[in-house]
This record gives sequence, C-alpha cells and structure tokens, in this order.
Amino acid sequence: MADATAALFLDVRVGDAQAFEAALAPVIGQAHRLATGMLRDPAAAQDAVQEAAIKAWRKLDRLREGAELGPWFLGIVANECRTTLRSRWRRSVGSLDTARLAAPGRTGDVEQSQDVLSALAALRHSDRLVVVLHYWLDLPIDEVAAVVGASPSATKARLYRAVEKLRDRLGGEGRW
Amino acid sequence: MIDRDDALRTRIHAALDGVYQPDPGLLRRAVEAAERRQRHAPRLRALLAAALAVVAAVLVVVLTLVQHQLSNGNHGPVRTPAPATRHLIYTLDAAGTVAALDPQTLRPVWHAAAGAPPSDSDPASLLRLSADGRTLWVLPLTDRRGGTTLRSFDAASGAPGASIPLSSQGNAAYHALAIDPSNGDLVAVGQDATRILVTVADPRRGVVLSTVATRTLPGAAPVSLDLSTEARFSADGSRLYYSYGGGDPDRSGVDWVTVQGATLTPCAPARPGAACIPGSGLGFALVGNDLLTLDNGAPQHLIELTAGGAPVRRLTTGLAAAGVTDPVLSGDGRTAILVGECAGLGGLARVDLAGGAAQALSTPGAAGGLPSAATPCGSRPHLLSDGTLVVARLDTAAANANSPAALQVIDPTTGRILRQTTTLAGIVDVVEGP
Repeated sequence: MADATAALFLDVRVGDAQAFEAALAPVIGQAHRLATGMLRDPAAAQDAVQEAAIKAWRKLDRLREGAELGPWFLGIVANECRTTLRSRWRRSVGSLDTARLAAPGRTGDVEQSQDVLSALAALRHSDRLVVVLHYWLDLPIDEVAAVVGASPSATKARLYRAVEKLRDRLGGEGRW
Repeated sequence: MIDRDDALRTRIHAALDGVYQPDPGLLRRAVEAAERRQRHAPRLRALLAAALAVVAAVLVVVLTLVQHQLSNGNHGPVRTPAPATRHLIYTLDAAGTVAALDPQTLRPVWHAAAGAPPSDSDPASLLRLSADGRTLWVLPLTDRRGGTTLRSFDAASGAPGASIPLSSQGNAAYHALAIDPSNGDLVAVGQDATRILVTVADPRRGVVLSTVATRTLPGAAPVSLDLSTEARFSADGSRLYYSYGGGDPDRSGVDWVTVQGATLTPCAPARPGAACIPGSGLGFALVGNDLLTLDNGAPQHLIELTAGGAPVRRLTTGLAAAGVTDPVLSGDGRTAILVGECAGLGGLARVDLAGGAAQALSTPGAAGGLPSAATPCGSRPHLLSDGTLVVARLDTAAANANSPAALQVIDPTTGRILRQTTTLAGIVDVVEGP
C-alpha cells in the first residue's frame, strides 16, 4: 500500500491530474463533511474544499514520504475553514441561518438541531474541529490527533474540554 | 460515559447531517481547479513578482520622498538633492603629471602620468572637464609647441580613459583645449608649420570630426614660441575664441571660429596673417558678448572689446609695473580679478567693470627680484566654487619640469594667501570640478 501510495504521489507531483483525483477520492467526502461541520454553510464548504485541493497539489512535495494523504488533506481543509471564518467576508455576512439548514422533521428535532449547531458555532475553532472530527466524521482519537497535529493524549484532553463546553451550552447533563 | 458519548454523537450527527449536502461533482471540480491553478502558477508567480517589484519601487520612492520631507524639516517643497559631489582642483604640471587635489588641504587625491613633456612648458588651457564633471580631458604637451593627443581620466579616481590622436600630420601641435557646451565636442587649437589649426573631436566615439586652418601665417615658419594660450566658447556655444601670440605682435591677438556642428568657419582678419582681434594674444575672459583681455602696453591695460573686436573701453589694471596674463571674472561678473606674473613682480588687483576703478589689494614686489612669499603671483588663475582664487605660482618664465613651484589659494577680496602647496614641477593649468 505504501509503495502504491508513493507511486501515486510521484505521478501527482509530476502533474498528473488523474493521479491526484485518485488520491483525493477516498478523502473528499470526509473533507466536505468537515468543511460543512466547521462552516455550516454548504457553498462555503465546497469553496473551502476546492481551495484546499489547490493547496494540497501545490504542497504535495511537503507531504512526508509514507504519510497518509487523508489526515494531511483534512488538516489543510481545517486550516482553509479557519481562514474562511477569519475573512472579512465571512464576518460581515455571518454564518448561514441554522434554522434554515436544520433537517426537516418534528419541531422538537429542529429545535434540538438548532441548539447543537448554535453550541458548535460558539466553540473555538480548535475545539469545534476536534468535536466535528470525532463526533461527526467518527474518526478515532489518533486520527483526529493526526489531523490537528497534536499528540493523542493532548487531543483527547482538548476533546474532553470541548465536550464540556458543548454540554454547558446545551444545558447540562440532564438533557443528554 | 459511553452512553453519554453516544448520545452526544447522535445529536451532532442529527444536526450536521441536516446541514450537509453531498456534492458528487466536488472532487472533479476540485481537481480541475487545482490543475488549472497549477498550470497558471508560473504566470501568476511572474505577475506577482512584477506586482511586488512595482510595490517595492513605489515604496522606495515614497520613503525617499518622506525622508527628503523630513530632512527638509517639513518646510517647503520636497526637492530631490543632487548627488553628493566632491569638488577637486585638477592640475597639469610641466612634468606631465595630472593630479586631483583636495581644495581644502591641497593634498593629492590621485595623480597620473599624462605624457612626457619638454623640460619647459608654457601655461595654457590644457585641462577641461566634461559637462557632467566625470571626465577630465588633458592635452599633454609633447614639445614646447604643444601636444598631439588628447587623453582622458576619470575625474573621481584618475583611472585613464580613452585617448584621441588629433592629427596625423607630423608637424601639427596643439596648445589649447576647449569643450563645446552645446554638444560636448572637444576643440583643440594648434598650429603646423604655416597655419593655425582648429580640430574638433568627438569624445564619445574617440575620433576627429574635422580640422580647419583658421589662419595662414605669412613667412617661412611661425615665430618661435608663438602659441595659443586660451580657448573658450561663447555662452551660447556658437563661437570659439582662442588667443594666439607671443613672439610676433603683428600676429598676436584673438580669433574666433563660428561653430555649427563639425563645420567651422574662421573669422576674417583685417589683413592676411593678422589676428581678427589684434592684441597681446594672452589670456582672455568673456563678459556677456564682450571680450576682456590685456594689451602689451607699458603700463599694461585691461581692454574690453565687442564680440567682433571693436574696442569698448580701456581700463587700468592697478598693477602698473606687473605683467598680467589672464583676467578672471568674479562670481557675479562685475569685477575683473588680475594676478601679476611672478616674473613680472606679481600682485593682485580688482577692477570694477561698471565704474572702471582699479584697486590693488596686493602691490607688486620690488623690481629686480621675485615677489615675496606673501605676495600673490602666478599664472592660470581660476576662481573656485567657494569664491577663492587658485593660482599656479611659477618663479620661472615658463613652467619647468624640474623646478619646484607652488599652488596658492588666495582670498580675492583681500589678496591674502590662504594656503599653498609646493609642487615638484611648475603647474601649466588649473581647473576645478565638477
């Protein structure tokens, strides 16, 4: 697998778009979900993934030999989301109305989804990132750690603190 | 904890699944965008580099202007100062050495050999600076009658530059040099066996453009030591004036040549072989359209002539017993400053050109000896940019390659010698620049 990945990367590095597409295919769905979870805006999420793909191709030679593309690309997507959120455009427009994006269903479900989205939106970028990666993309701690570039123990501690904040915002344990 | 964790996971899934909108075409679009950007990257990088270069240039200009504004104390318009230039005094001595001296210390900044001159040389306009002050042109003397090749030196460093042979004729020799202010051409005045010659050379190409015989000298050969001492262009660059004289009063005086590019049209003398403006043939100065020179009378007089040679007035020099070779104009052009030759008792006088009054600031020395060390005397006086006067002090009739001499800086308002330096050989020309 490592040899095949290395050959693939070599093709990508010499400008083979098909090879790049093949390398990106397994992770593009996760990347899109990550961007959606971080930005809560489908259009902005698509833009972020697209921009991350451009940067990934340009920076592919920085990917360590033998390293997996998935966590590395998700890290680029996460950074792109942070850049998007920091941009003046995002601040002036604001995030998409969470009520409009809530899944259709019972009124109570919509309210609960709105609460969760609002609570996620209130988290710091780094806290929201570990929560989205672990609780929505269902990545195990070590893979979350690879994406955020921290040790598993540090990532676990960060996740614990993030969840505590999220629970506080959602009204405490009683509501789980 | 696990139950609570699962509950949280479920709620987050429920919330974000509602936001997520799968996009099957995203991968293709992302790859195409990456490929497109990669393809245009070199062009983008070039554009970025160009933009950065423009920004950097603008910043440099802005910072320079700001700095100038600050240095001006925020008063008045921002002016771009001229680059710092160092004024130097340039000398050519009878040993063929050209030197650049610090005007304050009179110590050499650089010196270089310009040629192998005769043992005795007559002072004349043999040094000229190009209009931009970067090149010093020298007419080194190869025999008493003159030189045959122009040589150039970097005015700042003394590094030798181009040389221009003036004539292929074996008996032609040049003794005065001027630079055409309109185009920078070099013009040398000399003579061959029977004629006075004016030669124009292009310093950029290093070639002679034209030579014209301006006057045919009657007789079998020119009188010994008849030479051109001074060559100057009129302010508008249309006329070159040169002096010629020495041994034969009938031939001495000033001629002019009308210059139109490389075409030279000599003036027409009143009688064949004579000067267009008969006179001493010594140095002269240009005052507007008039000519200021000295006669050979005893006592000697300062004479003003029109551009065509008609006498305007005759003024006393204030140095009755002295011999003066070269009049110098003060900075405002209102006063003639006269320095007596050392062999002719020396002294320094000022002549008010408006009223005609002469004032001797330093009286000539006693007859029968050389002027005292405190008495200004010499040849090739040159007014420096700081208003002081520099003079080549020669204690012999001609500049000698082996006789020590001196260069003196004099206050022309008092006649006091401010500083001087001893030279190993007599100085034959002095200029200042840039």
